[in-house]
Amino acid sequence: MFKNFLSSLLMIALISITSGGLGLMSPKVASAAVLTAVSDTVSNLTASTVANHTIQFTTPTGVASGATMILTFDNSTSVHASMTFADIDLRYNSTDVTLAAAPSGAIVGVVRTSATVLTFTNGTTVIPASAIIIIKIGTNASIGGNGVNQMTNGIVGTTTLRITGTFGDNGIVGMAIITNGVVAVTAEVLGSITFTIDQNAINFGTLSSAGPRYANSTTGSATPVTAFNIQTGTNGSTGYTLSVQGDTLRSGANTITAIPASAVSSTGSEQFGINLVKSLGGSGTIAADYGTASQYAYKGTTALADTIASATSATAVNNYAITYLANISAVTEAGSYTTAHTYVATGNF
Amino acid sequence: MNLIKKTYKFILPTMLTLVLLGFVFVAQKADALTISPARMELSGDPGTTITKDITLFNDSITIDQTFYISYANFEAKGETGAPNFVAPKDDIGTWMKTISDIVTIPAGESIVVSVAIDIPEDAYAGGHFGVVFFGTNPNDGKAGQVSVGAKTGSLILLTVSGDVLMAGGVDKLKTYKEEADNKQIFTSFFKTLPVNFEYRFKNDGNDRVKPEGNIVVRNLFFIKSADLEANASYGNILPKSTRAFQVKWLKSPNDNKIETMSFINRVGYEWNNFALGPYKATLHLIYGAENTSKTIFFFVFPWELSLIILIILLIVYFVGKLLLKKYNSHIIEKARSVYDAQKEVNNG
Repeated sequence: MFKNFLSSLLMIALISITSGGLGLMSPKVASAAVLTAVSDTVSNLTASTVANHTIQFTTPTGVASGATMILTFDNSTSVHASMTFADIDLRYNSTDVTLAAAPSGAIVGVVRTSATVLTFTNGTTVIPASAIIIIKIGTNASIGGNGVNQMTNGIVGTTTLRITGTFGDNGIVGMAIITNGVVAVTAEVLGSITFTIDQNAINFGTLSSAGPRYANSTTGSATPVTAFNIQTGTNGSTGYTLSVQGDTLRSGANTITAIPASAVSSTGSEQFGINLVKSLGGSGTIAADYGTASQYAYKGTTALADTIASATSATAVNNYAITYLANISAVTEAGSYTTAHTYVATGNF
Repeated sequence: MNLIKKTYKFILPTMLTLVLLGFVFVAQKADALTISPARMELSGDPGTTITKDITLFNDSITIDQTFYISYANFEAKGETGAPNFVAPKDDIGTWMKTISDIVTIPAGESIVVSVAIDIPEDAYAGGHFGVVFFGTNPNDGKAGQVSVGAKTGSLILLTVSGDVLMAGGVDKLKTYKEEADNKQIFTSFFKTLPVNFEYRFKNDGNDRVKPEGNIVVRNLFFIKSADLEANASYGNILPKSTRAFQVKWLKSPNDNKIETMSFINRVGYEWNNFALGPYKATLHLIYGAENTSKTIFFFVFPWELSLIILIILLIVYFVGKLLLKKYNSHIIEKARSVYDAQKEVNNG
């Protein structure tokens, strides 16, 4: 009996291995505000060539029931004459939206209003504030069937996409259209990189050995607070590197000691450091010393930039919220401590 | 006196409000720039000038923005393809120029900046690597204990023609798995996909190398299970440096790490990413006129899925056996009753 059982098991295991190897067993898986983190990733930037678009942005207001969202291209970039809702995907956060020619119930309507304009009209589903919206146009659309018709790039120059409508928010993004967006040797689409920073100066206020200080755009804070936000993304295949260059806080020859490796705030000890928190849907990652909650480090110098975040492939925009910490000891020399930091974002090679 | 008091009462809060508003308005300043291309791969002869356009787009819809142009050389920083910028005392960082060092872009508009690269007659043959930066000036008059500047740039990878030495090759090919904390554990045994490959390419020449090729995975029966692009990002290896490339074999991606899933979800994940038994992976690379290959072996055993399959098989076996026994008893009983009835007829 045991011999028979073992024999059966061996046979089934052999069938499993074989069918796994052949791929038989593995199933197929199937109020008005400015938009932030706006990007439009174009599959081919060559002038007068068809291309797919992947448009992503965050809407601070959201999209109310019945509101419109209008995409307007310029520079002769055109919407295919036969383009319908079947060639378009709409997703907010992780929710796929059903599209049709006209809105009905939870269904969102989308129509080609003109050769350069697409208009979405919301049904009854309310898209919440701060939602990340992703729109795919072209053969990359796959919800409810694959898209067929693509956009056509305009002439050499810059195409802008303006996002407006009664939903209240608006935004703009540009893309460079070039003579030949494809390098013959590698078939690589030349990429672009986007970089946004929302402050030029921050303050700690008066430093104290009695408690930490966190920098912000006014007079500093005794509790952790975001000093500023950096947003970056690229459609370049090699990804990007974000680094910071500059000294620790300095007053003449005196400095506040920078934290060399990730550490928590320690009242009464000299410390200067930063912390990053990532949001939005990109694939960027924060460098090891800067990404642990409530821990800080600073390793940049006036001569050398230190990497604080990176991505290894094309990625949608990420937002990095940066917090600055300073602590002093009872014997820290009095003075006016300042520094200048330069944040550098470039593609990788 | 009363009037002065009233005026004082009015002016003080108003001034405080204005001061605070001043902070708020300064805080609204944002520098938002998109540049294209992010990377240019060029070649040229000594003594010639190459001119290339870079498009700058002001992503702000309300603020005109001014950017300052600067240049640097770069070299490899680590093995990831990240650039390490070096102040330009010579080489390509000193060969580049634009008509103006300052550009102002109206809100929502774009401009094209032409960069001319004058290659000296005595430039050595091979790779020269620089960057054109577009930055805000960190000391542009803003108050603050930390003034914050930003710059982004277009990388330029220039090959100067001549006798170029091509040397180097694949250093190692290994497999590894990623833990929940993204830590890499090098191993040849896997519970399930993904199987991550890492190879390191060392460039001993004096020009950049951009290898092309694939990693072919074959199962126990030499049937091809996967054909993976070895340099999907079209990354370069700079001279006198090594770059690590990662390639992932995964059939069905999942946003969650397998370590964080429930047992049932892990079984489903292993089913969607089914692989079982020993595998052979061969890396084939072509770079310039050279080519190379490396082979490794690894083993995948999805024990959680196997456990469920085994339990199902055991249930099928024992239930089948029980049913078969009952069926046999039923047949024997039936045959016996027929036999007994026949015997009675024969006897009677």
